[in-house]
Amino acid sequence: MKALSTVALAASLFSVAAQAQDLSIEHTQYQLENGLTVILAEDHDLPLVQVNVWYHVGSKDEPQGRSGFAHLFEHLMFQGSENQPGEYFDRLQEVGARVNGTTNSDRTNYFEGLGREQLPLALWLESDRMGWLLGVLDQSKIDNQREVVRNERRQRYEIPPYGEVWPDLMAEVFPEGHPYHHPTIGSHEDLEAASLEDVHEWFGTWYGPNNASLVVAGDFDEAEARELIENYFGPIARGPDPELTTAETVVHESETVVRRVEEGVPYDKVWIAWPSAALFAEGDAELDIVSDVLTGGRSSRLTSALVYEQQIAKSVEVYQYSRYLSGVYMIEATAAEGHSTDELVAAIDDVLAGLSESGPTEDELAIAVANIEASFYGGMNTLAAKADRLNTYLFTAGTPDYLQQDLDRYLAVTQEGVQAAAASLNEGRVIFHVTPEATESTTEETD
Amino acid sequence: MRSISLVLLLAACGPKSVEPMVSVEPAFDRTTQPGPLESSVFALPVAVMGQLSNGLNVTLIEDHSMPMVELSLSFQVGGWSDPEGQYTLASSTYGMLTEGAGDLGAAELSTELRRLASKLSSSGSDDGGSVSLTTLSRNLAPSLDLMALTLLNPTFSEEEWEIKQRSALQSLAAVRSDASRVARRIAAHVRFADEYNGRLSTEEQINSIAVDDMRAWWSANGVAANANLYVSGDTTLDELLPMLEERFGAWEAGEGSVAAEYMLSEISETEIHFVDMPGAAQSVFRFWSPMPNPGTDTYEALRIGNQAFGGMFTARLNMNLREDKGYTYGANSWVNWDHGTARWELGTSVRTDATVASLNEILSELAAVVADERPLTDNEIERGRSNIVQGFPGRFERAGYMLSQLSSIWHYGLPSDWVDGYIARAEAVTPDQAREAFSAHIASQPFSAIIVGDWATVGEELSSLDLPIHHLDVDGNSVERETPQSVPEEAEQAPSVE
Repeated sequence: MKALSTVALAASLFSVAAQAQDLSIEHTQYQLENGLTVILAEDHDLPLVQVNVWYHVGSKDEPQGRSGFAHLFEHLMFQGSENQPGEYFDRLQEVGARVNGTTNSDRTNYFEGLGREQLPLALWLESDRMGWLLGVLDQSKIDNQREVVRNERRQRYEIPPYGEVWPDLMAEVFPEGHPYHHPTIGSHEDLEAASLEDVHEWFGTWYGPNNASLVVAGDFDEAEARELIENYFGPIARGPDPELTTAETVVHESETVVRRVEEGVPYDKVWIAWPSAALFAEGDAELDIVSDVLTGGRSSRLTSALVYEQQIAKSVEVYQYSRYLSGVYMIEATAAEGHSTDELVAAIDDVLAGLSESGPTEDELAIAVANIEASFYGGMNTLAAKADRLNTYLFTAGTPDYLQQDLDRYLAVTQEGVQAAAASLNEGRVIFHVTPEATESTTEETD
Repeated sequence: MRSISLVLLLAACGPKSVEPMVSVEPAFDRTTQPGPLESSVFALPVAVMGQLSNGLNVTLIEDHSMPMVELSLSFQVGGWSDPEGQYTLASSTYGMLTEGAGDLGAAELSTELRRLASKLSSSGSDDGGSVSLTTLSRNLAPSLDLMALTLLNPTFSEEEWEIKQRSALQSLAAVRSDASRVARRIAAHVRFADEYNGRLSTEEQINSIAVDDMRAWWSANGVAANANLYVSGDTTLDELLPMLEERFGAWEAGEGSVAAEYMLSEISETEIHFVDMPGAAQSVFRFWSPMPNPGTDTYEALRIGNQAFGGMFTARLNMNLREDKGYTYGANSWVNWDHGTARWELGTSVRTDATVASLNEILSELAAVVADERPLTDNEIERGRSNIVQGFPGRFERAGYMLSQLSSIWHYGLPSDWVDGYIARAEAVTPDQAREAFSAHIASQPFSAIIVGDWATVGEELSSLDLPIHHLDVDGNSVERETPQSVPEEAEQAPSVE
């Protein structure tokens, strides 16, 4: 982790923005003939390596009627490939590797953390499924993983209380036809419709090396790694250049209110959501600061007003969830016993009005920036986190060399900028109330 | 001041592949598995220790890669010490430490910490408690001032407790409505009945706690003799110890308390403890059975045997329930311990209509191991072992992992070579020992099956198995339930509860 170096940290909190900084993850970047982008980040602290592959495709790219397919496909990537037809995990578990893949709206990633000596194994397996996947995929594997994913849906969204609010809320925030309208997990119906033909088409369209990026981080020799990567990934044929999915900026002209009575949930809870700035876009950093001013700590504006002064909320959380095509700015509040979510919304609006009328104090802004700056160090202490961050920067900012600029975004935020961001949290929003279905009450009223 | 250094050589345990070993040829060939590169020595992080004048032990792992320091003050005394009727007293007290201290109210304390970009938190569990600080190294001294204030002079404000108490009462409703959390809660209750972490929190218990109780509890238990301080990050013992002495040296040494050795409930036959969650899309399984404690040879053999049975993605259990049948998103089993007992556990969530089929698969997988029909093979056991051994270095990326292991040694009285003897112990188990231990101590033994699911849908089929079923509510109380009859239209009605 020595590659992440910091120099000249601000001596005093309030002059933090004025200090020269140098925050970076040392790396080299190059491209294979077939278009695969490679990023190598050496770090010899421990005899470990991390291999992290991003395919620049996610649920935003799914066609109508195939919600959940990007993620189902991710599962199929673990069903073996032509030169290693067994479970993808087979050889890797034998060497104690930590292996997984994840899918979100924007991208699909795959990663292995393992001992330095097993780098060839990880590169062999990753390249084999990038180049030689389809020959071993048959209908029975699709049928099996479809069931597994449907169980994942039940476990993550249907069993936990409020689990289905998020997908329903996103469907309100992003209109029909928007790439973020449907959830990454998909619907049971669409998952059931997925076919072998879809699998071939998805792989052919999106899984070419030119639509992927490979990060190797950790304890390796650069020349040795380059040769292995060329040997394993070099022979994979370039794919078509996929057409990037784009979206119009979403603006809600007026407020949408959804009220739902739900079985099996413990309290009255409300979500307030606005479409907002995309990741790294103008206004994204300002909204993060707004979140800190509202709920960063015990004395932050919203927490202190709702939870401690008025005592109408059990908890309140605020965050800017920013993605490639758009962000969502979200306030989630749980009502205290005996209080309604309408009371919460009114109280939240008062606090928001105060912030958009006069902006944050100098003190509030400095505290927020200092805490965000500290979070940069805390979030970088594993090879896995570093590797994924390099791929995040490459994908979103166009360069892996973006750590310092990422931090600079926050250091440059002004009080006026935060005020403007708060003012953007206007009527164009979705309010989603959930109330428990009245059944036999087990707790006494404490009015 | 003394220092301990733990060094472990892993070079000797290179890949122990039992798949047909692939020959490594100089020429590139993508059809075969590549051999390993040169491995290098992995050394465990070096911990150094010091002591304050009041006897507080300080363990430090230096890590200068980031300008940060993390401290965790770990306490021995937890919920196990709670008096009858005031279960959650210990954890409530730990939680209140950071809600105001000295002249600072809770809000002011929080603001001061945020000015320093530091995070200070406190919490308790059944087993112990902790106060944790994360800070930029340049802000270590003023942050330690605040941490010391919370330990030496916590306020236990009545007003803050009222807010926290109300929140805790509401949180109970959240626990009761989440099937996975209910399953964990009920499993603990079945394991220890009305002792230790078998005691479940209820409104009555939470309401019975007053700030004076917490003040008294803290003055008895919040003493240096009950605590150890674990530190990692950008500091040195020479820098740290004087800073700590200045702030914590006056903290009362007191007398330490150690948890009793608790006993698990006996399981004489495999039995189901069912909690009804009408309409649940899945049934949550949480099974357990007792096993020998850490520090015994059998424990080590079981750890390896379990890895082959259910400890990995590619182990039998998950390969059957997930990759073959598609009943679940994942199924695994593991070994676990607490004060004085150890247990084997198995957990999964299965599609509601596959509840009985899944249970039957688990029963047959266990039976197959025992009956010599399909004993765990050498290959499976070696893969399980290799997974443990070769995955070991990867756990140490964060200094906090090593510290958590050292803390466990102290907290649970584990063998002192728990970490540095880890590989050697895993290597010492023979395949026969792993196979026989897993068969004798786990697979052939009765177990306790906690199932949380929709009784109206699964009740009839589950009742047809030859297994006793005890019905419990979400708080662990026994209830009566009728076996639902197979009229599909009734499937959505709640079954009758006496």
